[in-house]
Amino acid sequence: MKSNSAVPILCLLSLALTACNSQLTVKGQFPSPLSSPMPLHAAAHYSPELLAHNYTESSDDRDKWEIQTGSAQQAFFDTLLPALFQQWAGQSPDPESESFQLPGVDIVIKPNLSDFQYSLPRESRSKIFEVWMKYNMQLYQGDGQLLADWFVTAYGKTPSGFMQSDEDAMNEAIVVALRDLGANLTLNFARVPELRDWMERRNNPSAEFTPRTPEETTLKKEAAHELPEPKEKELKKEEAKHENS
Amino acid sequence: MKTPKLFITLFSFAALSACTSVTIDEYQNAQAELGNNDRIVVLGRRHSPEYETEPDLISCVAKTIASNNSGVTVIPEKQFVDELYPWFEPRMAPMQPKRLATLIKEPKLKEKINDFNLRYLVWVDGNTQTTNSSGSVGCAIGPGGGGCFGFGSWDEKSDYEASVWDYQKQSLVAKVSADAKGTSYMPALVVPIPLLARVQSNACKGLGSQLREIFISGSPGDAQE
Repeated sequence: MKSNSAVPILCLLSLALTACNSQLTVKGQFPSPLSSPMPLHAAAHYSPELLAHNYTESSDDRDKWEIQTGSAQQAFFDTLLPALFQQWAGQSPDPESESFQLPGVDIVIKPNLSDFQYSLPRESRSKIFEVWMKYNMQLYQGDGQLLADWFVTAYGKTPSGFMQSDEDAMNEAIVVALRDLGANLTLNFARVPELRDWMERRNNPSAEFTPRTPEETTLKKEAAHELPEPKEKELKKEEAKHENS
Repeated sequence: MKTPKLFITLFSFAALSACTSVTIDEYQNAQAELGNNDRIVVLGRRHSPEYETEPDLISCVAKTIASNNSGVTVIPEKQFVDELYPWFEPRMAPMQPKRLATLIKEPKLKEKINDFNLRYLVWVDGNTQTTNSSGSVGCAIGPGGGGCFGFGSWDEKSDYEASVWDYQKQSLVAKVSADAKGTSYMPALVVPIPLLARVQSNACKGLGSQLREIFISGSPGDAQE
């Protein structure tokens, strides 16, 4: 009798302990962009860090989330990037590796997820899940020479729906953020100054070009792309201000 | 005998009170002219960081417009946004009708929109919020069983505005706004009984019915832009 009554109690206890732990492997389907492809033969390199990206919440004040985004990111880039270029060579070895050469390929794109943040409805006091992602995009020539290095931010949000789990809502917010990244890259990829110069030089080798100043290049320009602070931190700051006043 | 009477009284009181009031305003700038093969799309605005126009509200408005044998064909929002990706993502979606002219400079986009036989875009902006809540419901479980006791209520407010754009003329055809308010109740005597005010649903029906009239009647309003 003792053991029988202990079973539901143990079940309830284990439920209570795991109630604030969320594990999520992000899944999503991404549409191919509708745009005129650039006249380039391109390839991509996904680093092991990108493919195995796993965010684990370390703050004691927040719910314990473990979010795996690697496979979703690969699915996203595999759909987006081939549509941006006239020729697609698929995956490439690491362009930073020694003796890297990819004959016939103009550029190799290497995306790196450098920051990932989220905000939950109870933290932002709204009915939405929010996600911010920051990518360091690196562009290499076929001989391994670094051509451009810039940061791109993405934002996604989704309302918390009735009968929808937190995991589903977070998944949707990350998918929306990746779609936002796709919109940003589709619109702005051809505007990267170094890539534009390089293409102009390639199409018109005899013309004279004035080198860009450091302010005009994307290389190592990080400060302009800082992610905003999560709403939770902003709210805490506001509360602290009120308490002090 | 007292308990059933109390139940009935409480239930009747709450059922009578859990209703919604809806106010619809319309401004029509031009006549809507839908040809036989013309289609429309209903899209949610998602650019505000403060709120998100609910996808279920958008599909509800689309269903309401197409209902009652209206003859209006509505392209599903997800299909439209996915097939025209990324041009109608929050970052890139046009905020003014004139901006459509810039967008369709992209030849693939123009071709795809023409494939849809799109004539009108309906942009819906707004959301439903809980504005106030009071009371509490407590639940307990023990070896002899469990139950809940208490009374809770909350107010909800919907505020939506729909803008109808003519894709061919790249102009504003009409604006319709829907404001809805309602209070929901949750009495609990052993079992909680939710008496929900269908605020969002009623706002959707009001908005959708008014938009349907615009597409069916096609009558121009008095107001000019």
